[in-house]
Parts: sequence; structure tokens; C-alpha cells
Amino acid sequence: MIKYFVLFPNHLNGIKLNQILRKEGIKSTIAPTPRELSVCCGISLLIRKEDVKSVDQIVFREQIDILRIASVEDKSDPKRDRFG
Amino acid sequence: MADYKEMWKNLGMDLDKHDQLCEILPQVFDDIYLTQENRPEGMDYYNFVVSEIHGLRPMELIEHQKKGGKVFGTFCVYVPDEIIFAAGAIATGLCGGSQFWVPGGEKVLPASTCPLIKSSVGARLDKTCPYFQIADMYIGETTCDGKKKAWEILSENVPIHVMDLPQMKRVKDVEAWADEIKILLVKIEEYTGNKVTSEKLSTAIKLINDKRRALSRLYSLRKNKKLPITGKDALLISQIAFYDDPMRFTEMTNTLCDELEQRIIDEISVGEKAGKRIMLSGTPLAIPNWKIHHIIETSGANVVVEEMCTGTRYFENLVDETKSTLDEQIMALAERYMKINCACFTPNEERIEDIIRLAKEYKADGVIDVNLKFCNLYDVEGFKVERALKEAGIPVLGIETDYTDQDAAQLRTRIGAFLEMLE
Repeated sequence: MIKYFVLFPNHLNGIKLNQILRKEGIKSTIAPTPRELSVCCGISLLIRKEDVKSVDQIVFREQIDILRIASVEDKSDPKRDRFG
Repeated sequence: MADYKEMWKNLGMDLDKHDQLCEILPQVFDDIYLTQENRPEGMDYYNFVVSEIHGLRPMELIEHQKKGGKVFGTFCVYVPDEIIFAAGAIATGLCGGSQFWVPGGEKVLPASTCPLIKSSVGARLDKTCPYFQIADMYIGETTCDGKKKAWEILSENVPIHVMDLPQMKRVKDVEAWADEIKILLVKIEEYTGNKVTSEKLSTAIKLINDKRRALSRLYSLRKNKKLPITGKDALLISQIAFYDDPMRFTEMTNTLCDELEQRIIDEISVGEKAGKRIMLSGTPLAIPNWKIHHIIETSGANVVVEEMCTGTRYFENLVDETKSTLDEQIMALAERYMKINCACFTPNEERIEDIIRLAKEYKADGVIDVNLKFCNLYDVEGFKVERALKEAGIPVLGIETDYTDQDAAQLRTRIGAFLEMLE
């Protein structure tokens, strides 16, 4: 499975887009940026595959500064027994 | 994804080593938190704080310092944040909840020291925690022998003020703690150059009480039969309470509580269906220590309350807001803080009473008494905790653990067997 993330130059744009997506009924979750996508810390938005096109349009319409919408392989392990 | 490398470099952090930590945390958070189903939307705020925990919040603290403000790093729920905020300064928690920092601590501490202390000292000496690097002064206390000696190591680079916490709860001990708060007040006034007036202290008491009220509201919602929030998420909120701006934290936690109250009305639950309700008692779970909650909540049960410093010990009891002189306010602070029932006190019957009371209030099916390895105080007190719970007819499991992954499978087996026993 693939997961989709919106990446931002700073957190303000991320929060703004998250609020807009919520208002438009598009599922969006604030998440730490996966390491595979950036070596910088900070937030990204986790969105659903079926919403990628809509999110892209909203970003353009609302003139939100994003870096890109990126995808990574879903390596989630809900029962992980490693704790960092 | 702001690039915080320049900020970390200016703080004197070990960038290569810190980078190893940055590499681990996103996946850990994804696995443990983001894979949960049906989380409240309000949890997004706490996702945000975690994502930015070594970035945005440290940046805010640095901005405060640029304007002439001071930052005080604290380790314990006995340190009265009210005094620090009343002096126009900021109190912040410090790092200490990850195995990542433990080897750095073991370079100077005996291996038989509790992981919380080893992790804190390691985070400081390895220069991988921005909060340790930012704090102008650390405020320690005498809650255990390990910490008392750790302060002597930490004070070699950053000034530290140690508060002498009495270990009994007689009237003279409460008065002694009031004296310690006065000494802290003078120290902070000297260090910040700001006078603490009764008006400023009154505002700060209200500020911190409001945070306690918000957490108390959150925890009360966990008493509901249909849980509107998981134990993991509640733990995360408790952990973040130590770092975030208190006014913002209170506002966001109250907003989340509004959502949770609506969830209760709408009968929306996040808990395992028919999952057993588990209460935890014991030592603190500093961020990012999510191990026990994760094991329990992926074994078919729900954590409904934590009798811990990252739990009820942090927010129960308010400071009396009606006092108007500094002396009266300081005594009100001393009285409130001396109501916290840590295992460092003797006798400590009030803590046993708290545990029984909480187990009943939160309708716990069982209690897991979780203590960090080498924490003798809580470990010894575990005997009385377990005995009292058994006498009250409440099933109990005692666990000793640390930050490593090595006992995870064993814990899963033991906790699974305990849950089966509750059926």
C-alpha cells in the first residue's frame, strides 16, 4: 500500500491547508514528515489516495505554499514492539 | 518541514547524533499513534506538537530569550511552575523518555540507575535535546537519591537550583516546603531581574490551575463507559502538558474535550469493544515512552487512567486562588504541592487511598502497577499497593520495566494472561 503526504516549507502552510481540507470534508491528518521524504523535522499532512487530485486543486486555488505531494510505501506496523 | 539544523547548530547540539533520533521517531509515532482508528480530530494539535517538538517549541523559547526572557528546565511535578511564570519566565520539561539517550547516561552513571535519570543525563551530555541546551537554569528537587546525584553532574555546565522536598507530610514539612518555594522565588527574581508581585503570582496561579482544570476535564471523560479517547492519546496529552505553552495547551485541550463530550452524546467510542478497563499506577512515562500503553491497547484492553506524574499526580488538586498576599499565596502553593502523593514520602497511605479511589472512579477492571527498573521507592511501595488492591477485590499485576524493547514480548505474554484472568 502507498501513503500520500503533503510537504510544506513551514508549519503555517500545513496548518492552513489542514483547516481548509477539514472544512471541505477531506480527511487530513497532521503527521511527522516521514524520513524517506525529508531529512528535516516538522509536519506534513497525511491524505488519502482518492483525495490527492482534490487536494492538489485546493492548494492551487487557495495559493498555499507547499513543497510537493509525495508518496511512500506504507510500512506501518500497528503492533510494533520496538519503541525507539 | 522547516529546516531547524541552523538552530540546533547554534544551540551546540551534536547534529549527527541528533539526526539518528530524528530518523527513528516519525515511524514510531506512525506505528503507535497514526494507525489508531477513529481518533478525535482534536488530536491533530498534539500530532502537530510532537512533529515539531524539537523544532517549533524550542524556537519559541529562543525567541523568548532574545527578548530578554529566561527559560527554566524542570524535571518534576513538585516544582511550582507558577513562580517561574509569575517572573515572566517560561518553565519547560526536559528530555528523558527514550532508550536512545540511555547509553549516554550510562557513560557516567551506574547501569543500576533508573532509565529516566540515565536518559535525562544522556540527553544532556550527548547534546541531543534542544530543551537541555536552551534552558538558562535547571530546577531540580530531592525526590530520589539518583536525581540528587545527577544534579551534581548536570550542574557542571548549566546552573541548577535544587529544591529540598521534605519526605514527610507533617505541618512543619508543609511549612518547610513553603520556605523552599520562597527561596525559589528569590532565586528566580535574581536570575530574571523581574519582581514577583502578588498580582503576577495570582495570574500565574490561575494560568496553571486552568491547565489542571482542562486535564481534569479530559480525564473525567475517560470515566465514561464508551471511551471517547484512547489511553495512548490521553498519555500523549499529559506528556505534552510539560512542554507546551500553558495557555495554548489549555485552550486546545478544552477544544478537544468539547469534541469528546459530543462523541459521548453520539456514542462514538475508540475503545476495544468489550475491552477491559485498565488503570496504571506507578512511575512517570516521559515522552516518547508509550510502551506499556501500546502493549495493553494492542492486546484488547483500554487504559482508562494513570496514577502517575504523567497523569493524575500532575493535575489533581488546585491552588487556592482566593489568597491575596505573597505569603498567603506561597502557603497555598505549598499546601497544594504537598498533596501530591509520590513514593518518596513516608508514611504514604494517601497514595494507596488515591489508587483505590481512582480504580473505583474510573471503573477499572484491573490495575497494572508499572515501575521503572531501579526505582526503589516505587518498587518497594508496590508491595503495599498490590496488597491494598487485592484486599479491595481489584485484580492487580506488578510490572518492572525500562525503555528497551527486550522485554516487550514477555510483557505482551504477561499482560495478555492478566487480561484473560479478568474475563
